[in-house]
Amino acid sequence: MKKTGVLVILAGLLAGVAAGGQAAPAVPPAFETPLLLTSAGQSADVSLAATLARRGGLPATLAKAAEGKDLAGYKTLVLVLGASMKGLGAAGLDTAKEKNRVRALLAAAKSLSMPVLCLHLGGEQRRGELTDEMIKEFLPSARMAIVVASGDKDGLFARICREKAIPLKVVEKTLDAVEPLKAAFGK
Amino acid sequence: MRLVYHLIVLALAAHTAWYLFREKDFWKQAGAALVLILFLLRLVLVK
Amino acid sequence: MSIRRTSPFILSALTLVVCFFSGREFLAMRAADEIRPGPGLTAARRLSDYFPPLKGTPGDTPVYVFQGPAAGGSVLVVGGTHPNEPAGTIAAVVLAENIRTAKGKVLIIPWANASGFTHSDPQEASPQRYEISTPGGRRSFRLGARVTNPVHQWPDPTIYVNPGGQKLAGIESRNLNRAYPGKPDGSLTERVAFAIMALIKAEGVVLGIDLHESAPEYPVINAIVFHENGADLAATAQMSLQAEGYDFRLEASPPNLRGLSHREWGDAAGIMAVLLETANASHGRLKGRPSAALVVDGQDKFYEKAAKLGRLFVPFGPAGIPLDERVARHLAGVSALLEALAEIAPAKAVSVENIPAAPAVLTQGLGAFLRPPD
Repeated sequence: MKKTGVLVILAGLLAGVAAGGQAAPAVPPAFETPLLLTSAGQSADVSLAATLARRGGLPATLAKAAEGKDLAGYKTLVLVLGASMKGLGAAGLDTAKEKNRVRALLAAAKSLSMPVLCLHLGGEQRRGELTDEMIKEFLPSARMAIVVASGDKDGLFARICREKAIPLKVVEKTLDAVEPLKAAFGK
Repeated sequence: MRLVYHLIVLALAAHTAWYLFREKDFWKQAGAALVLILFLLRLVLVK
Repeated sequence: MSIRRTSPFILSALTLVVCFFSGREFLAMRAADEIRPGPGLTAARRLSDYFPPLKGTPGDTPVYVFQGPAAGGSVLVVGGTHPNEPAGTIAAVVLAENIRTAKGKVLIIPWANASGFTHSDPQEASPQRYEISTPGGRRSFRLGARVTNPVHQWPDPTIYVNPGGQKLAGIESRNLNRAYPGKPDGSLTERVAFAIMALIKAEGVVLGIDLHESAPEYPVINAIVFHENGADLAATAQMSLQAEGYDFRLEASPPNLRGLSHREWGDAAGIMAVLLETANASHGRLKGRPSAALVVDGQDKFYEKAAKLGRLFVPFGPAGIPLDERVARHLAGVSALLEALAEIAPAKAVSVENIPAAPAVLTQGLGAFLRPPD
């Protein structure tokens, strides 16, 4: 009797998992392709996002310092959060110029009703004063965010996403971000 | 260029050796000898 | 004869004795380290084969070729660009002594700046050599200086304008990793850089990997620095390394920083160029007493203290960061880059067997993957 009970519970659990798995596609994808990838802070993490998109089979174009006019022809803007002074220097930008660029880009995306997906892929190493300023300013514009867990040890992403009702996907490793990324595009 | 280098080091080594033999104070002689080691090694392009 | 009259003669004799013994030690640095490439070796060449004017100069250095039976791309692995960064050289030696290529070609230069291995950085009290235990005895390797020996290239200009037009401090004129793409009629260092570029072009290299180390207090550490040609490759490798437990930071090669391998190999030859950095306490500024043990064991109480104060960019505990671990990271990095190349450009894939696995290097020790000495 006891064994039967356990089996019934297990079967119930399995059915629930299966039902959950089937239910997922019923939710319409939050984003559409093609997507334009850009950086907020000019860190090299934007290359990780490009590789994730390639692995996920998502047609994407990387434009590290994209501007509003570059949005034409795209349906999603992916903003990779992460500041690097070295990256900013190499791009001939300073903090103020970079923030102004991203502000203008987000305004252009908003005027085109283009959804924004925010990524933070560099983990704990890619947090810091400048990155945090950008997270606080730009994350609220996102329709969804995917972050590597070690980058949110202090719960900054969780707090902003909770306050602004932005769905947040937390992954352990960068490579794990492929699946939620694909799912966000209904792939 | 190498000849110029040799000439400079040779002049410095000769001057230091001259100082070593001319100097009366033992510790100053010893100091000159230590400097001479470096110049001689440079002269033969060892270090 | 008084002591005052005889002492100059005694001191002169002592000077000559000291010159003899110290000169012998210095000259011993000019003898090449032993290397025993494994059965996978298909050709042992010299860098001067790609640029004949280098022949007979202190810049000439061995190039080991591992050609596989199946067609594929060519990959260049360079160690010893900076001879005081031993993990790069040892990783290249370990590869040369172990690998077999099944597809494509691997070219290995373990001592890229051969002249730099013939001396030590002045006023650093660096050991001339360090030893690694193998099951059949101890292998000795030279720890050189960061730059070319001034005996081989002199004088330094006040301001060095490198082949890319970048103005640098005079001493950088002897830094191989500021001299790319080199000059055929330039300084010795620039000619070595030119010869490496000639090799890259002659061998149709698609991926160049330059193995380095940096001080634990330097921000570009445990990193993959990549030319934009290799952005996808570096990101793919970084993610698989992270999945294996090796965190590498990704650093883009700044386009305005000229003369570096990861910039000029990509710009001048169009290849995917990457540079790997591990953390080496022995050439950092915060270290205590320099010694061969510091090079090999990587333990230093001052770095431990600096880590506690949050001044470092890598964790540094009592176990330090030993050479085994640094070489293991490089080997893991090379493997991941080769896998990424196969994923991104299958037609140019290079398939290499017998690369010592990083966990095996950590558990069995580096010596298990080096051939015993004679």
